Amino acid sequence: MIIDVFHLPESQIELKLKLIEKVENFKFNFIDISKEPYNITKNCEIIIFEEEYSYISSVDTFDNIIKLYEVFPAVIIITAGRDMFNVVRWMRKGASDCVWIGDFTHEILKNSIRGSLQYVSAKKIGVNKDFRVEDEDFNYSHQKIIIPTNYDWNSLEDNKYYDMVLMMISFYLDKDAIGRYSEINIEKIFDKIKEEINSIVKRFSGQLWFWHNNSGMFTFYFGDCINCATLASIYIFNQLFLIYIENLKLNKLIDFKISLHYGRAFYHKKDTENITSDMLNSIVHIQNQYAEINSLYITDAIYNSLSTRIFSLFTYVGEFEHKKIYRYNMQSENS
Amino acid sequence: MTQDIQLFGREIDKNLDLYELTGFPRGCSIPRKDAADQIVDYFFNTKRISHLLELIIKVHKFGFKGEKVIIHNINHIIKEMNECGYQYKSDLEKVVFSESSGKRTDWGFLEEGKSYNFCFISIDICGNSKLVRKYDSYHIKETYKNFKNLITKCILSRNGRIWSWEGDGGLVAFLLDDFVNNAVFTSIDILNSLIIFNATENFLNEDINIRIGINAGQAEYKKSTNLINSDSIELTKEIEKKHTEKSTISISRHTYQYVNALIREFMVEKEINGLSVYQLKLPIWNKINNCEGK
Repeated sequence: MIIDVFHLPESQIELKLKLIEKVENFKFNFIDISKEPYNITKNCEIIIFEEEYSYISSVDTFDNIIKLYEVFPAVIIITAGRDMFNVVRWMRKGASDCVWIGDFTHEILKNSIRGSLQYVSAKKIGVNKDFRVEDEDFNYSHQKIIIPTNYDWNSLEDNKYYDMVLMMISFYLDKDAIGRYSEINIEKIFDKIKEEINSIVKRFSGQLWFWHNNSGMFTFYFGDCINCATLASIYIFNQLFLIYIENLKLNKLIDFKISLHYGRAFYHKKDTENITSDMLNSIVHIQNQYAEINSLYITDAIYNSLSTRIFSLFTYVGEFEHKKIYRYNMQSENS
Repeated sequence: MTQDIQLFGREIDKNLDLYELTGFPRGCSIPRKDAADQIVDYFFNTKRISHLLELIIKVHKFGFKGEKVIIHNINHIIKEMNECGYQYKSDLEKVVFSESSGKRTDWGFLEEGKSYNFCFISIDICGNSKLVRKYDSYHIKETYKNFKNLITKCILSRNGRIWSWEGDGGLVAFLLDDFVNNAVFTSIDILNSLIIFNATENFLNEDINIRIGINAGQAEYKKSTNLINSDSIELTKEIEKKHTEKSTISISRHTYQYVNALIREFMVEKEINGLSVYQLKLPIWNKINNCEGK
């Protein structure tokens, strides 16, 4: 992967980046900002830009550089000042990260580049499967899914809309089972299932939003929420078999459905009974009217942003309410 | 009284002769303290002190020869025993080496040279030599390290032990509880966790795929677990290497009968390279859906 590096004349950055180049899979194309015309890399997805003094003094040069690229790349700003407002200005301009030159270590830059690549892939809603197989090695290597560890669900405010993933899980007991287990036992089984699923969802940075009878709604909002939610759902899909037999000691499996959708959802922590939104309606419709038993479905809003590491696990199965629907049922084709 | 102490010792060693040990002429009554001291010394010297402790605790709990026995200071004995690195496991009714400072490959009680029934898993990364040639050692090392961490977590949570490991795979043994099913649960867990591993922890430019072979049988325990071998272990490795397809689990025919009946419904009998095995693969639910013709 080639990264264009726009540096100031006589900058120390070139030297530092060359050290990183030796141990990582990155290749840097160094471009002196003072020497036009710039020899940029075609289809470059990520650039590093060294700020002169501040945002104000560098923004014009930055704009000229960005115009050269067909697609707005992810931008890492190397800044000399620690002024927070300066950083905010760069972020508003579309930068994916700002690294203070004093903190410029191998590890920090490596994480910044990886984070920026995640940012690029998250922005690529609408990218189709064909694009992703253009350069399999490249796509695979940079689409490692990072599960966020630092997040706070309390930061979400009630009665506001958020772009998030909803994951709906429903369980269906057959008539025999209803006769076989008492009502209390059925409640206990669902409680245990809820507990097990919730603990898995938490590992993938999601949370239980609400649970009603035999169905639960889970949300994912932080970091690469689309891929985290999809990974969680795949894991749950396969792990349910063990949960039933190993943990619950059931002698008959319980049917289930899982559906995932991404979009703008109206959020309220507790008052979940009165919440309505198109997003919520969509996922409930998919689950109740389209999904088949013992299957995991995702909508195109999810599929289009899936990491190359997992998208081949899904196959297109049809359209429902103007959404393309994909089902998890295949062994990976990456191998 | 001497007779009672001798009978007590003979629960562990049938040939125990207190007169021979103490030097007292036969027919004489041996003082209780001398008899008890000799018994302790004898089992200590013959490295069977854990057996004696086990017997003392059992006798205190359940009585001896139909009579209730109270061992004074039993709690003190147990405390001392714990301080010396032993613990009494009531589920096994055994005194074992404590695993508080790390899991032991002998579960705390296997004896060198004795044969036990295990369920073995052989795990291997497919196409390891190709991967090693294709990628630099740093990325291989990091990926394989993460892979081993994943395997270890799945195995230890079901009381299995890794007996040998060679970078890209190894041999795992299960012994206690429902050991065959624990081996199967672990294998399913590993296959499922591998999807997450490939998406989040794999440093290579492609998915890692594995093969898992399962077989139950005997082996003679040795402290150097990587040197343990038996026909069952050989068969486990052979099943994994020659009779298992990529990203699947193969179980030997005789082991299949001990597998949970519900899991058995999802296994397919298959002849692979001339040997009939039972195969399990993810997603397991696909089998239900396919069978129902959905």
